[in-house]
Amino acid sequence: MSLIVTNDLKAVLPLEEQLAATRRLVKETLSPLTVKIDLEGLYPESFLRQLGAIDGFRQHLAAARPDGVTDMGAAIQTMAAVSHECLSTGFATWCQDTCGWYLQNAVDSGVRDTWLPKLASGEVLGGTGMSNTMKAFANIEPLRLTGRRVDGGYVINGSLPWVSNLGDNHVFGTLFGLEGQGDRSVMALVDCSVEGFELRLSAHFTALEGTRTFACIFRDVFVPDAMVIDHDGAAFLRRSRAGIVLLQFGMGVGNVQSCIDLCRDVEPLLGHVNGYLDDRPDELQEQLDDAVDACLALAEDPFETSDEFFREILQLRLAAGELALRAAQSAMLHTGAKGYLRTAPAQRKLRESYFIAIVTPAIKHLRKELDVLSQAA
Amino acid sequence: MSGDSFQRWICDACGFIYDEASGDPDSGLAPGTRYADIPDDWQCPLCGLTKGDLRLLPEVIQSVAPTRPQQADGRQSAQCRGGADYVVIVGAGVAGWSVAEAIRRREPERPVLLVSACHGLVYPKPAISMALAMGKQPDDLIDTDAASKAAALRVEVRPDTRIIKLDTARKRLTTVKGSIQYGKLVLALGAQQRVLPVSGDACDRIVRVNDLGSYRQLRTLMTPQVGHVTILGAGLIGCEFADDMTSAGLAVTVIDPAPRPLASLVPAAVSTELAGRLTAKGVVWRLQSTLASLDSTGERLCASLGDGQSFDTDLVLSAAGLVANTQLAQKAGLATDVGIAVDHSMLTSDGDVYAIGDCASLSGQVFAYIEPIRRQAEAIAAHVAGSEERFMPLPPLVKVKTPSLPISVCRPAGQIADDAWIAVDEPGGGLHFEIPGNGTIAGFVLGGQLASQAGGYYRRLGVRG
Repeated sequence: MSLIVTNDLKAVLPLEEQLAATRRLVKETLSPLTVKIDLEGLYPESFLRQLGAIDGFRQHLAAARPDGVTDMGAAIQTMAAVSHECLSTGFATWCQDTCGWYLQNAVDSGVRDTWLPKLASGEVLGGTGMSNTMKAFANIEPLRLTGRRVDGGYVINGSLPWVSNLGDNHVFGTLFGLEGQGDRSVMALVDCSVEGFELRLSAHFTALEGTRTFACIFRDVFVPDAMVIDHDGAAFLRRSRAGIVLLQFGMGVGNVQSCIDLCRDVEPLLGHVNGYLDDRPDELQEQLDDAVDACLALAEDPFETSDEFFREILQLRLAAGELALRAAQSAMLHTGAKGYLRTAPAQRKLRESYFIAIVTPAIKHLRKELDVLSQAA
Repeated sequence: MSGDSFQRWICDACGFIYDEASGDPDSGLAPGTRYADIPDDWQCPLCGLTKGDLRLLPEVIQSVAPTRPQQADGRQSAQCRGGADYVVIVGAGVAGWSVAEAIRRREPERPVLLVSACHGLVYPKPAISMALAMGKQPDDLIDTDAASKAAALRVEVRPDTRIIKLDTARKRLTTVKGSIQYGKLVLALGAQQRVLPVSGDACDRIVRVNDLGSYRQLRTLMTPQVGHVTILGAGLIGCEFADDMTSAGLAVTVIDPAPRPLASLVPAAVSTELAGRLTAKGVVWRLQSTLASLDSTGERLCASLGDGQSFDTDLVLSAAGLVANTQLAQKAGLATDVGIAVDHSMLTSDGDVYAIGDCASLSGQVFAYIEPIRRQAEAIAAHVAGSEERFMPLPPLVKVKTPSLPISVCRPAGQIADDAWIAVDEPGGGLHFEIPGNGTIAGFVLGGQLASQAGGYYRRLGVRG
C-alpha cells in the first residue's frame, strides 16, 4: 500500500507531550461540560476541534504525519485520556479516528488526499456507519445499504440506525452491497450534505448522549467514484478491521481506569469497609495493566490481516468489555451513596460501561465470532 | 374489525414492534392502524428508520443458537498464571513437551506451566507428510490432547494462548488473556515455512503445511475436484509429499531452483535414483525453476514459472524450507541470528531464558530435526536443576520417508562437494555412499533396502541418539 507522505506536514508531538496536552485540554475544556453532555446531550464540538488542533486525531494516520509512522498505540492512549473523563467524547474521538483510518486504508489516493488531512486536523468531523457492516460480515444481520453502479459512481438506497458524530457538514465511512451482485460490496465516504441523504434525530440513550447520533436515510444518494474508498468492500474490511477494533480499546482503557480511580479516591474514608468488596482497585489495576500491555503490543501490527491475529484482538476486546462491566460495578459499590447521586461520576461510568459491552462488536457478537473462528482453527 | 387479524411488525434495525392493534399513538397512529395505512414519512420511535424497515414479525424469527459455546473464549483464567518459582515453556510441539518430560524426570515437584498458541494436541509431526498414502485423516495422527498429556506429567497447560510480548526485566509474558509470570522460561517456538515471493491474484492460496492445523486445512482443500498438485520445494518435505500424493492418485509437479531433488542433502546419484522412481509414479520435475506467479482461472489455478512456461494446477503446496520463529525473542532484546542464539546449555543471552528445537541456534546453526531435541531438553532440565549437561551438536540421522526409495542420511553440516561422497559397492542391492573421515567415516547415505540399517552405521560414527 502506498503511503502518501508530503513534506509540508507539521511534525506530531512526542507521545508524552501529546498526552500531557490532551489531559490539560480535558481538564480545562471538557470536564466542565461532562455532566451537561451526559444529561442534556450537549455535543462537545469545540473540544473535538481543539483536540484535533493538538494532534489528537492523527497519531495513527501515516498519511497525515511527516514521518509516515502509524502510531496506533498513541491514538489509543489519547482516546483513553478523553474517555477517562467522558465516554461520549471518547466515543466521538473513536468515530473521528476510525473515519480517518478508513481513508488511510483507501485504495484510491484521491479520496484520501482530499479528506484525510481535514479529518486528521479536526477541520472536518466524521463518523463511521460500519456497525451494520461488521454484523453483516459476522452473519448477524443483512447489509442495510444497497448500491447500483451508474456512470461515474454508485446510487445508494437504504437506511442505517444510530450513526454517531454526524452533522450537516460531517462525513462518514460506510459500506454498501452491490445490487444483484451477490456478496460484492463497496466502501465509500459519504458527505452528510449530499442530496437525497437525511439525518434523523430519534432516540435518546441511557448514556452516550451528546454524540450526535442519527438515523441515516439514503434515497437515491449518488456517491461519485471520487468518494469511493475501495471498490472491493470485503478486501477493505479485512485490511482495516484490526485497526478498527484496536482503536476501541481507547474507550475501554479510559473507562476502566476512571472507575479504578473512583474506587481509590474513597479509600482514605471507606477503605476499612471497602476491603470487604470484590474487585478491589489493585486487582482491577493489575488486570487493566495486563490488558493495556497486550493491547499496545497488538497495536504495533495494525496492518496484520490474518484470522489468528484478529482472533486475538477479539479475545482482548471481549476481555475489555467484561472488565469494564466489573470495574464500573466496583466503582458503584466502592463509592456507595456518593456515587449514586444523579450527577456523580460512578453512576455515569456504570451506564457508560454498558456501552463498551454492547457497541459493535458487542459481547454476544464477539462470543459468536470467536466461536466461529475457533472452529475454523 | 376483528382484533384477531391484526398483524405485528418489527423494525429490523432496533427491534421496535409495531402492533397494528395498538398503533403508535405518540406518532399519531390510532390503535387499529394497518401497516398499509402508515404514512410514508412515519419514523420508528426508537431508531428513526422508515416504514420500509418494518418486517412482518413471523418472518424474521431467527433460529436460536442451540447452546452457548462451552469454552468462553477470551475470558481471564485465574489459573495457570505462573509464578516466580515456575518454569514456563512456550510451545507445545515435540520440543516443548520434551522439556516438560525432561524436567519432570529430574524434579518431580518443580512447578511447570506449558503455554501453547494452538490447541496443544500431541502428534508425531513427521507423520504428516505420510498420512495420505497410509489412509489417515489428520485426527488419526493425534496421540493425545494437551490436558491428558499435562495431567500425566503433572504439569499445568494453557492451550490457545499466544505470547504477544516477553518482558525479561519483569519476567513476564503478555497474552490477551492476562499475564504470566516465570522464574525460568523455555522458548520452544518452532519455525515456519519460508514464504516465497510469488505474485498473481491467487498467490495467497498457496498452502504452507507445518503443523496439524495447517495440514487439516490442506486436507479440506483436497476435494475430489483436485487432480493436480504443485509442490514448491524438492527438499525432504517436498519429496515426501510428492511421494505421498502420487500414491493417493494425484498428479504432482515439483518446482525447485536446485538442479535435482534433495540437492543439499545427498549425492547426485541418490537424487537421480529418487527422481527416477518418483517420475515413474507420475511426478513432473520443474527443476532450476521458480514459481513466478499464481493466478486464478475460474475453477483452476495457472502456475507461471520464471522461465515463462505455465501450466494448470488445482492446489499449490509450499515446502521451501523453515525459518525459525525469532520475532518474540528479537523484540524482547534477546540475541538472535538464524535462530534464537543459545549456548551449550541452551541458554539465550538472558540468564533465565532458554530456547530449544527449530527456533534455537547454536553457533549460527539451527538443528531442525527431531533427534537433537531430546538432548537439548536434557541440557535445559539439567541447567534448571542446577547441574550441567552440555548439548553437543552431532550430525543428525535424517530419514527421508519416501517409500518409493527410503533414504537415511547422516552428514556434516554445510556444503559437501559431490566427489567427496564415495560409492560403496553393495552386492545385495541398495544405495550406499560414505564420506571418509579420520580412520572412520564422517557421513553416509543409505538408500532403498539398506536404509533401515542406518542405526548401526550411525553408531559407528560414535553418535548416539
